[in-house]
Amino acid sequence: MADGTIGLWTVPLAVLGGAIRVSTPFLFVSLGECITERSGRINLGLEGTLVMGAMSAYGISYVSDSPWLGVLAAGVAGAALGALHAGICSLPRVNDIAVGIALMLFGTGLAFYLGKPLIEPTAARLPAIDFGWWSEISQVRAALRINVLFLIGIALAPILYWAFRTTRWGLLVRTAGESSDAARAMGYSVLLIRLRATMVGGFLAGIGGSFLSLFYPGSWNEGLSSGQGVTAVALVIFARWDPMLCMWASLAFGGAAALGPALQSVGVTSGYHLFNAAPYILTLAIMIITCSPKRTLTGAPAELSITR
Amino acid sequence: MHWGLVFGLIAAIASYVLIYHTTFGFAARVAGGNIRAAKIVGLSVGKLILTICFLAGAAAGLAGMVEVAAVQGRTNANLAAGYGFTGILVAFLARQNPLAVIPVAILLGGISASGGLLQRRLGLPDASVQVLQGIIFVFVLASDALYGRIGFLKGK
Repeated sequence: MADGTIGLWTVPLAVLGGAIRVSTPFLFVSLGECITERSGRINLGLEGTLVMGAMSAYGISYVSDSPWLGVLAAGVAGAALGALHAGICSLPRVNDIAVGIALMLFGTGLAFYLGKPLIEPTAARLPAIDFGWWSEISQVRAALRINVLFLIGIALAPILYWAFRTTRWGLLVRTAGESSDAARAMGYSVLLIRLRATMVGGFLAGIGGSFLSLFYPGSWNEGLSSGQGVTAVALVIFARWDPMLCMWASLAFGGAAALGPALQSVGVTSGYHLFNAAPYILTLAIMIITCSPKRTLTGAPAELSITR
Repeated sequence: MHWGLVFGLIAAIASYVLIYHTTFGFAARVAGGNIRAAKIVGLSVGKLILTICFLAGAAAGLAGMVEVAAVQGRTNANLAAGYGFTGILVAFLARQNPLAVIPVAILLGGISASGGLLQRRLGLPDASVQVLQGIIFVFVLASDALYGRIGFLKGK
């Protein structure tokens, strides 16, 4: 460990740093989708929401010089797209999965359309907190430069877990997701609960997008999101609709995604693209190991159109 | 024009015949309509779903082959981004009828191809086509709510 070189320790460090950096958008999108799906609806359009959030955050941050205003704008744009999804799905006989895919195309298209003039300029970026100040080694410092949004996301998971279990609001969302008849019998409007849940989900997904454009990679271009939104929706199923498991799944996914670049940096160049597929292989493997033909998915909300 | 269209037409007709004119297709439609009923009459639902998924994957793989061999002429990392999702929506718009997929797919392909023209003639960004497609999909899918509500379209 002399002279600030740490040899092979770079790999786990880079994986840790990657888990922190790469996982934040997954974390926000999967927590948002968790709320939406617990209310009994699937919003596949979160990919579009993510890109739209990234674009609006960058634009507002560029105009106002305040990245936090950009984060707020991303959330509002996401909530608006969520409201659109929920509004259309409130109509009878409309398939929420198909509308979700349509809104995914619409959201990404709209973001690219409006974001054309934003490719050139540089906007104010989100600050990072340096948790690695105690270390002399530059890799450790780089891995521990943590964005506030990541901490908010990590805090949000247990809060949601608690809220789903104990608060009136969480109980209502779960009731709408498990049995819409029961919610209606109690005198609540299922459509209104789902509208709110989808809007909150869109809000969180928009914030996840703002992390992409304002922190890492930290610029706006059309290749910004490589399917993170869709992957995060899959992570919710993988995490069995549990906010805490969503958090762990996002972290594992982010860490696995950093494996390829980390191995490349220590000289293991063969199979670079194979290691880039590591998160997907990991997800598939865990899905296959934990599934069983004898029962349906445990923890799935009963009103979801995939389980009904 | 390239041979990809012929591949597509043959695949569409073949899947139409498979779904609507064979025992296998009938079994698949029963399983798709009511999975419990299919199990009660003794169909092996798992095997049906697996076979259909294999066939669907084969069709999608064929599309990738056409894209590489006839359209692009080479492979690269960001080939054919988004065709898969648009394809799912084409199936929804065609109401899961393989023959209806043909005109819907040609219409959507035409809209995508018009992107270059919009860019040159009107100076619009190339993403405007994607916005247009998104709006079309959203409206057509939302109009499912009108199904059976308009008198003269009700039919039998």
